Parts: sequence; structure tokens; C-alpha cells
Amino acid sequence: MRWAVAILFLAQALGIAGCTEPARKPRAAYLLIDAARLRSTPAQEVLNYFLSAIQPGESLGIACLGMGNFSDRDTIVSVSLDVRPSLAMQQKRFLKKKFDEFTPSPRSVGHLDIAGALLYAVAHLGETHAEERYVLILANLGKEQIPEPVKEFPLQMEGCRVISITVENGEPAVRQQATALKRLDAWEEWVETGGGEWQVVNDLALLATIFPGS
Amino acid sequence: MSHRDLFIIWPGSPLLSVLLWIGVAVAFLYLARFPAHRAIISFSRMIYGALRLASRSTLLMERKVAARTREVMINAGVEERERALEREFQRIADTATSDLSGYPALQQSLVEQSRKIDEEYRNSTLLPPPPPGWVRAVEVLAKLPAEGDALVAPILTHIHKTVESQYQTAMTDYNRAVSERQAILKKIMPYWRKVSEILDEMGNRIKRLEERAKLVDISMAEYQEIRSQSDQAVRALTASSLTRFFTAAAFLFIALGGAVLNFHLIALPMSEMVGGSSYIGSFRSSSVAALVIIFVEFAMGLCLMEFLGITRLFPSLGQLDDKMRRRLATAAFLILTILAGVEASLAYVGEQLAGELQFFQQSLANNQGTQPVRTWIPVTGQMVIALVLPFALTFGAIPLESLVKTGRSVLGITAAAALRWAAFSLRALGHLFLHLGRLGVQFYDLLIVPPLWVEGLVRYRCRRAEGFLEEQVPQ
Repeated sequence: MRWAVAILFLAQALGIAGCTEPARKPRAAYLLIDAARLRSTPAQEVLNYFLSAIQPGESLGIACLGMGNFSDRDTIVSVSLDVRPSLAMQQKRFLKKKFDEFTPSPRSVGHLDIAGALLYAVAHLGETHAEERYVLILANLGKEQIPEPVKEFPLQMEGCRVISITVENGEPAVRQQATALKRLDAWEEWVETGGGEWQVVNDLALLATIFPGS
Repeated sequence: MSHRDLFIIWPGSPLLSVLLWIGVAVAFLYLARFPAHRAIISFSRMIYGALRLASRSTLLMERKVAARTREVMINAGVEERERALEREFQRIADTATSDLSGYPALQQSLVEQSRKIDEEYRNSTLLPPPPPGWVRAVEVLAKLPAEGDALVAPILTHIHKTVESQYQTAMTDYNRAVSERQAILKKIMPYWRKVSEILDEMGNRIKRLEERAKLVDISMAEYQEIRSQSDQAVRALTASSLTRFFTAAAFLFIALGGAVLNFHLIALPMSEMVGGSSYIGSFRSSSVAALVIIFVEFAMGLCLMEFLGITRLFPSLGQLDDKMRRRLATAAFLILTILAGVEASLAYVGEQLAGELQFFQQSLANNQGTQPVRTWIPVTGQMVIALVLPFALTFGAIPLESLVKTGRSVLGITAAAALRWAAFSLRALGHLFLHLGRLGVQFYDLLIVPPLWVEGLVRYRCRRAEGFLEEQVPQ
């Protein structure tokens, strides 16, 4: 009799457990946005997507890529969300507010320090102890003004996924030019040499598959 | 030299070689005919025997399972009827206690009414004073001739008048006395009515007891039938088990739906209590916590039903004394109420969170966002559902008990039916192999038709020659 009740309890547990979500590894993301695109529509869309997709207990950081060497001053905001949904919601609002209020410092000389920003982002993501780490770059890496990475000094990027978003006003910015593709290949090789994963996204709808929400 | 060339008997003519090979093969098959027949028949008989054995074993197993199921069903039926009888006797005891406890008072009332009726009747039987004896004298005087004596006539007239006056007075008294008797008899009427009501009430109570007694008789007859283990009783129990099993399963399915709804109501807000990012195994902690709450509620519901004596899943709980059971039932009910309250609060938090999330999504979409308009209807609805569902799930214990109790019988019936079909299939398969063996023998002979034909011809001729000789001998 008791075993039958136990079996029925188990069946009920399995029935209800079937309604629950599968386990998800803790995630952390860092957005590196070109200062020139900070207020662009793709940047807003990417940020909005991440704000709605990120879950309590996960981390999100945003930094602005200005001219010159990357430093702490370029960090807009970085937050590890609380595990309680209500507090996490407040933190998301704070994050959005900080982003909206941010004004990039005027620096007219130099170039975009993508490598430095990546170094910073990877280090920051490492501190979160997240199992899945994402770095998103909203900058045109195919531009000639951006220096190519130094192959001799690869970054340690194990478990890190670097995603280059090459969307500008809804259209692919990287023209199918041989040089631009070559430069992107160089970045890919550099990231993969460091143990990371490289991906180029031309369509923002793909973000839902890369960084799924709830 | 290739492998194909090995089979060429007649170089340059493959067709002839093939025909020669066929001839060789037919000759070989003809020579090996009887051993081959025996081999085919033996093989088919072996498979037939094995399958028949398996079929018999399966049938034996089916009989054992059926006997065991029958035993289980009879035991369950006996237990159930005993329980029904016990309840019926309890009801009779309650009826006797509640109805017949007032019997002495009724009897007292009846005696009192009888006494009053008797008294009043006696009062009514007091006769009015009889008419005086001189009535006859008056009649005699009235018959005397009045015109005989002038002196006597006035006297007689006077006497007559006096007597008539007395007579009128007497009659008036008599009529009054009769009226008084009638009035007294009229006063007895309510007492009679009261007596009639009391007797009717007593009759109704006795009738109710009789009805209960009839139910007990029916239950007792069923009980005796089950105890006698008759086929009719087993058939009735089988049908009853199947019906109750499927009904209970349907009810439990509904209860499971309720549990799932309950889970969805509290799973999200539970993350406010235990966090929304931790996992236990492959499940979110908040989901596991919500699941645990639902399980605790269901367990409390089961215990409550057990302590109230509605279900009897755990005999050890039923053996507790009544006082302890009442206490434990109260405790279970309190825990259930607290959990229901917690669920209602969680439902409120969940609605708040959903509103916040909606507002945030809107603010992301249009970059400013407006405060969501919140109405009390969904919040109240969710809270009421969260409050009521734990108590509603408590009643799931009743179909659960039914499912558990009939499950064993249904399982046995299903297993017996499956075994019966398996036995039948095995036997049929065995026969199929046996006939296939016979068919194989016939097919074998079909392959060696030419030598068989020759053999038949030779035998025919031999027999004919022998017959000819036999015919010659008598001559």
C-alpha cells in the first residue's frame, strides 16, 4: 500500500517537474560599445535585449570604446544581479539609467583599443565566476583604423565567447570586402588562439539563440 | 581459374552445367529424402514442443496470477463490506441513540395522555340523576277518568300540572348533564390527537430503523456471498474494481491538473524566498521549493483524511485512539491552513512581480514606460485559487485510496489477460511451426518430383508384375 502511494507521489513529482525549466549555467556578459554607436539603434536594441534576457544571479557589464587606451573610466556600469527577482529588477533599472546618463569623455586622438577592452572584459567576467561568459563588441572591426591584434600576445579566454555584432541601422556594416574579412579572420584567430570562441552576428535576432532569455 | 569455373562441369556450355548440377542436387535430395524428412519433422516438432511447453507454463502462471488476483479481490471486497457493515452498524447505533433515546420520554408522555383520557372519560361517564319514580305515578294518574268525581278532578288536574312541571325540570337537568358529558368528551380530542402523533413518530422511527436493518441485510448478504467466494461475487468485484480504478484515475488526473496549476502559481514568487538562480540537480531551487510545498500540502491532506477516518491508507494511523486522532487532525488542518496562507501570499507576490516585469519590458520597448494599471480582480483571483487549491487537493486522498486499493486487482486482471493472450499466441505459433514442418516435407518432395515419379513408376510395375505372378499361381 505504502509503496503504491510513494510511486504515485513520484509520478506526481515527475509530472510537475516536467513543467519546470531545464537547468541553466550561470552567465555573465560584457558589452563593449563603440562610442560613436553608443546612441545608435542597434546598441539600444542589444542593450534592451540583454536587460530583458539576463536573469537574477547573472552579471552584466557595459563599457564604451573611445579613442585611446581603454581604462576604468570607459566602464559605464557593471552589475551582478541579486538572486531575488524584485531586487534584480531594480538593478536592471539602475543599469539602464546609468547607461542613459553616460556621456563618453571626449578624446579625439588615438584609435579604438579593442584588445585592451577585451582584456578588461575577460578579466572582469573571470571575477564573476560565471560558467558561460560572453563579450559582445559593437564596433566595426573591419575598419582599417582599428589595429589588428598582436598574434604573439594572445589573451587567455578559456570558456569565453566573443561575439562581434556588425549591424548598423539594421543593415550589415561589414561589406564583403576582402580586407575587412581578413581583419575579422585575424580577430577570430587571435580569440581562438587564446582558447575562446568567436562568432560574427549580422542579425540581432540571432541573439535570442546565443543568449536566450527566460 | 575462378570460383565460377569450378562449377562448370561441361566446358563451353554453362546451361548444360547448370542442368547437370540440378540433376546432381535432385539425386542427392532424393537419396537424402527420408533423413531430410525426419530432420524437418523433428525440427518442427521440437519448436512445437518448446512453444507448447512455454504456452503451458504461461497458462500456469496465468492461473496463479488469476488465483492471486481473485484472492486479493475477495480480501479487498470482504474488507470493504466489513467496513460498510461497520459504518451501517454505527449509523444504526447513532439512530438508536438519537431516536430511541427519547423513547422513555415518549412512553411517559403516552402514559400521561392515556391517564388524562381515562380520567376525562370517567368524568364523562357520571350519569345524570335518573328521572324520579313518580313518573309512573303520573302516567297512572293521567289515565284516571277525570269526569267521575267533581272533587277529585281538580285535585288530579293539579297533581298532573305539578308532575308535568317536575318532569320538565327533570328533563332540563338531564339535557344539561348530557351537554356537559359531551363537552368533556370533546376535551378528550386533543389528547387523542397527541397520542396519534406520538404513535406516528414512534412508527417513523421504527421504520427508519427497519430501513437501516434492510441495508445491513443487503450488505450482510453481499458479505456472505463474497465470503463464499462464488464466481458471481468475483465477477461483480472485478467489474467494480475496474470501474472504480478508472474513475479514481480520472479524478486523480484532475487533481494533478490542480497541482500543476498550484505549482505555476507559486514557482515564480518562490524565487523571492530561495533565490532565482540556484539549482538543485537540474531543477531550479524555487521550483523544487514550490514542489516541496505542494507535496507537504498533499501529505497533510492525506494525513487529515486518515485522521478523520475517511481514508484508510495507513493502518497504523487508524489504530490511534480517538482523542489523539482528533488532535493530529487539528494539527494537520492548521499546517494546511498556514501553507494555504503562504501560497496566497506567494500568489500576491507573483502578481506584483509579473506587473513589475511587464512595466520594465514596456519601459525598454518605448524608452519611458508607464506604470501598469493594476486591478484587484486578477490578484484576488490568484490569491483565492492559491488559498483554495490546497484544501481542494486534500480530497485527492479519496480517489488515491481507491486507485491504490483497486490498482492491485486491476494490475492482476491485466497481467492475467496478457498471460492468457501470450499462452494462446505461443500455442498458435507452435501449431504454425508444426504445420510448416509438414509443409516443408511436401515442398521437399516437390523438389524431387522426377525421381519420385520414376520410383512410383518402378513400384507400380513391380507391383503389377507381382500381381501378375500372383494371378498366375492359382491357375
